[in-house]
Amino acid sequence: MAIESPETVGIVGAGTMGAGIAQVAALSGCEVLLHDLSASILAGAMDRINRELEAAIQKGRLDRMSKREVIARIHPRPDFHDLAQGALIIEAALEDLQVKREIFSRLDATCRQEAILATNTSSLSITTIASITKRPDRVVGMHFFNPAPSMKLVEVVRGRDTSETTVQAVVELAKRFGKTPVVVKDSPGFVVNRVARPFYGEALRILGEGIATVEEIDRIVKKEGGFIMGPFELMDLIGIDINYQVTKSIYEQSFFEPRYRPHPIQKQMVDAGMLGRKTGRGFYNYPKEN
Amino acid sequence: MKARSGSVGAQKVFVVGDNALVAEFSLLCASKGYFVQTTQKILGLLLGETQKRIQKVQTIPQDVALAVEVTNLHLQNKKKNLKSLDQELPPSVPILSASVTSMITEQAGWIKHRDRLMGFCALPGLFDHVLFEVATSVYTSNDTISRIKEFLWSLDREISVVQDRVGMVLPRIACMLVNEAAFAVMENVAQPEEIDLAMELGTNYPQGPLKMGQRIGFDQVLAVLDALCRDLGGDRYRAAPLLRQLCWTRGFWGSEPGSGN
Repeated sequence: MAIESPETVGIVGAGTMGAGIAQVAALSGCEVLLHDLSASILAGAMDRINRELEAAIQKGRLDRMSKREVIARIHPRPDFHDLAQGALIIEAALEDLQVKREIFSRLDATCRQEAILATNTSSLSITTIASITKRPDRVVGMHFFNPAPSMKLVEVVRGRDTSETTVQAVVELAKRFGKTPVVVKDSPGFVVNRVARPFYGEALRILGEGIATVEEIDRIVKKEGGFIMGPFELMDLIGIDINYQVTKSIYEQSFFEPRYRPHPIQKQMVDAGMLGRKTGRGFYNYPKEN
Repeated sequence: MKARSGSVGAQKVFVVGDNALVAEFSLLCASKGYFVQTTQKILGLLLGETQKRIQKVQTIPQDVALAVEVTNLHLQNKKKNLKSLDQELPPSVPILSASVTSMITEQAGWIKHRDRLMGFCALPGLFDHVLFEVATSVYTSNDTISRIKEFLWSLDREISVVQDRVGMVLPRIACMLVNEAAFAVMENVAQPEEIDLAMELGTNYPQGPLKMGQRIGFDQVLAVLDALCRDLGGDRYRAAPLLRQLCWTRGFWGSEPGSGN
């Protein structure tokens, strides 16, 4: 069965991920309904997309004409009901189950019966989110990575009731977006967040056990292991709070599987506001430029 | 110790241990100008001049500058090898031993001349990188440390001294990544190729964890995890049952079954 790619994509939430996904969708030729309750966040998203496309022009990857067309395809929509026109909705709101369940319940009531409802969750269960709707076969995970415009991977998450048609439609859409889709089962952390856990977890334990220092562990991982970044540099870049939240979420969802156990060093740093690059202090210091 | 100059032992190095590691380490030493002797047959090294520097011998030669023991898999073999080296070689010859699956302090307990023994990180696929982790026991002498450091520097490698613990730094992290990917395969989270693809695109690792496991050797990965399990206890380092199967099938992609070490 040939699956037609939806021409109109709705996006819920115009934060960093929502804006990035809107940009990607518009670049692929889709009409985009970008929804956020906050007018200022919507305006910020349009600014951001404008800047990114301008940068693409400077690098010779986009011409001015196309930029105008891309921008014209993104329609900021503060009214939730405007999403009713979307053939596929991608929710990119707060990573909070209650928030997402409420959004999905409203989407289910608002959107056409045949519309596919996708969530960009990185850690919540698709099956759980789908259960609030009357169309669990058309609810699916579409996990983009940050920054969405440049990261090639999309994890297409199959919930317990997600139909094959829905999975294939989202796979095709991801390809149309110029992404590489990987179909994964609805399980804690999906593939990337889960399989990457030991990179941080073991490094933290090696540090905690006094086997080597932060600097030496990073040096070993890069120069002996051929990795581009060491685990502590990477945690500082991602944000120690974000990394800790992902770890905690997978640990709790797996009923405390010891492989995913967070480390006291993480909690201590989060509680002390040492969150990595964004606070100027994490495992390394990042002096503010004057 | 300089490979091409000086007179001590004519810069001969004796290497013994797991086949894959003996082959890779011998090749590294030979490519840096050392004459390598080993009692094992090395397959698949057809590299002209470098290969000529690698020689198979029947017994442990007396005139080597340094001996290297690279067994991670079967520790009873390691014990036997270290005991023979300690008995056969003059007490002044340093012994560099892989201390990934057993601590160098434990290994020192197996021999008489404990001061000559120092540990390092040996894992297949790592010898073409630019750094070695090393570890000492309480017995390791300063003379041994400085001679082994000179030897590793002469291989154009940097050194990082870490505490003497099973798994050291990189093997513990890398093998746990492979293990997590193996669990994900077992649990049907995604197809093996897709897991590697997702990791290659979603992280900036040099390669997907299953390819990494294949390169290191699933038998080596399992040996590291089993050693961590013995050393640290608990469930955290429990190897995925799939890894044990992979030791026999030698991996997922186009490999011959039944040739496990």
